[in-house]
Amino acid sequence: MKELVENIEKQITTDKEVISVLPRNGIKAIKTLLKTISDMTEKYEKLNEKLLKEIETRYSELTTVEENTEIPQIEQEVLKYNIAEKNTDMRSSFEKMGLDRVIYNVNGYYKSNLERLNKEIIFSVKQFEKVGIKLTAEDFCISEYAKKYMEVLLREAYDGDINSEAVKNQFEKVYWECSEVVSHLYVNIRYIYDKYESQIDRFYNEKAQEILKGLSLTVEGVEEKKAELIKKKNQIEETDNKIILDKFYTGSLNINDYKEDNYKKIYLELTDKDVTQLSDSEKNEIDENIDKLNTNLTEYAKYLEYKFLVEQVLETRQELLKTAEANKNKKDKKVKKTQYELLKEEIKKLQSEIFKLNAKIEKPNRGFFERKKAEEKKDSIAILQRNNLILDLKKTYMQLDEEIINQNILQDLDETSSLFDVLKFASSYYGYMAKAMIKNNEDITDKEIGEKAETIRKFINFSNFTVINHVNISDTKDLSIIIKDKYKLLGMQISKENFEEDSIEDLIRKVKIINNYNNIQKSKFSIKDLEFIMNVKEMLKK
Amino acid sequence: MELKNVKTSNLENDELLDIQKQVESFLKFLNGEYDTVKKLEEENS
Repeated sequence: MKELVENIEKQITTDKEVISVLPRNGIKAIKTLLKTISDMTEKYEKLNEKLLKEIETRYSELTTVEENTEIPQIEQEVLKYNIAEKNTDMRSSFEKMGLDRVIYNVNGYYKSNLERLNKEIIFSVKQFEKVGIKLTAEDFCISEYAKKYMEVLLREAYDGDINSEAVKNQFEKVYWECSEVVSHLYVNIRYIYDKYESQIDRFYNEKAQEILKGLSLTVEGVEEKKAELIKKKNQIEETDNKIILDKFYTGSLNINDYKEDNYKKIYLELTDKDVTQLSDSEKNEIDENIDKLNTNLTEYAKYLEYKFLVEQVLETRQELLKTAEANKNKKDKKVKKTQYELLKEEIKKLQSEIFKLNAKIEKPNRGFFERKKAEEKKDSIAILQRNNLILDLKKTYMQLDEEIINQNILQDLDETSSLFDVLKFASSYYGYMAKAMIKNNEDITDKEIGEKAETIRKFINFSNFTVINHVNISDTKDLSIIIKDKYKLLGMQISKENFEEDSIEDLIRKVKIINNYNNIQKSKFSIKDLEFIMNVKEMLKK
Repeated sequence: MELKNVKTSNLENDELLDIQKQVESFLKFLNGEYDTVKKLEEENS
């Protein structure tokens, strides 16, 4: 409609000239000029109204996009299979209950605060309840301090306020009686788990059987079904109108990157091909490869963020293998108990000694009768001994945790394990993950550890992996080289340099632009539509 | 040409925005001119 535009432009120029040439001397001429300006203003205001109305109608038509109902449905399905996976995977009941996180946070409470400590303790109480074990203050019997605190905390939690004044006062009171009360709570939670371990294991085994039977799938089948659903969801989201529009609205995509010239330029840079000269089939093939490269690079970039975890596990594994090799030659014929068995025995022994001493320790209030000084002294000595044993027990539990991880590193991982297997392994143990995060960044706070752990677990649970699940730990080639070599063979213009620290972001950005541009073509929008929407949006701001 | 007969629906999205911008800017010009001439009228009366 070039002609219409030119006509309007011409009209504006003519009208401008009319205003400038009309005489302005004498009151009569001035009045005529004012009348001409007013008439002209009225005409142009009407046109402006018409134009604005047309803009509004088009904007409204373009931006009225239905939410894709299939996406939340798939998300629900993914969650269902994720819960199934979490209940049937190889992790121990301790990790399935989330006690690994509780234990880490209760142990490091001094870096956190009372509110967080209480939250974690109550979380553990709820988790026990979920597996059929209803806890009361009586279960916190490792010491009178743990019990006294839990009496108030559980009562207040029942009333809905775990951070009430009563809880704070009780903590203060108990803390000054025994400053190691949190260690007592730590040991007590672990003791409760030990006490009910076989019952909890049975609960999870039965639940796993029930879930698999309900889904008519094997453990592997559940994993495959979930991966398939995530892939489907990602594919739908790539071309979904609402998601594309929201990305521009929120600024995660910038319309200037999607101008045709920029697209052509980047296309040429990445493929060495002039996109306008390609046949449909040639372009489809290249675009498919760009789509795959985009998925691979996104996964690779995320993996780089968590690579330190994989490296930590592999380093530990190397050390363990070396030690095992050295011990192989020293081994005498007599079968010795494993470190794990020894620690388990030690824990049982310490628990028994603690409860023996607890039985001896008399209750502080015995009615109206004053207790004899000698008896009180006897109690104090027993309490001191018992408290020391609780601290020994805590240390032993921590050694056991380390031993379990070491044992599992050797049992669950071998040369055929993939980088994904290792990352998944590390993410299964909160305490291990937290320690590796601190090693990687000693300034990290407990809150940040919690957030990062959640992000890593989300990445593991809700991604459709295509790279790290195919690369074995025995592969000596760097992951970036593996990706680069594959796409080089497919004619992509990428080099080792593109994967260097200061270039990788640029490569990812360019591949994303091409891929998003291609996906936009499959949506209801054209780039011109999106340009229009964003321009109107800017206009509306003013 | 008659402005009231302009068929805005015949304009492309970018043309529509471009023309609206030009009209808006011309309206600003007209308002400015009106103020100037109005002042002249006051001075002459």
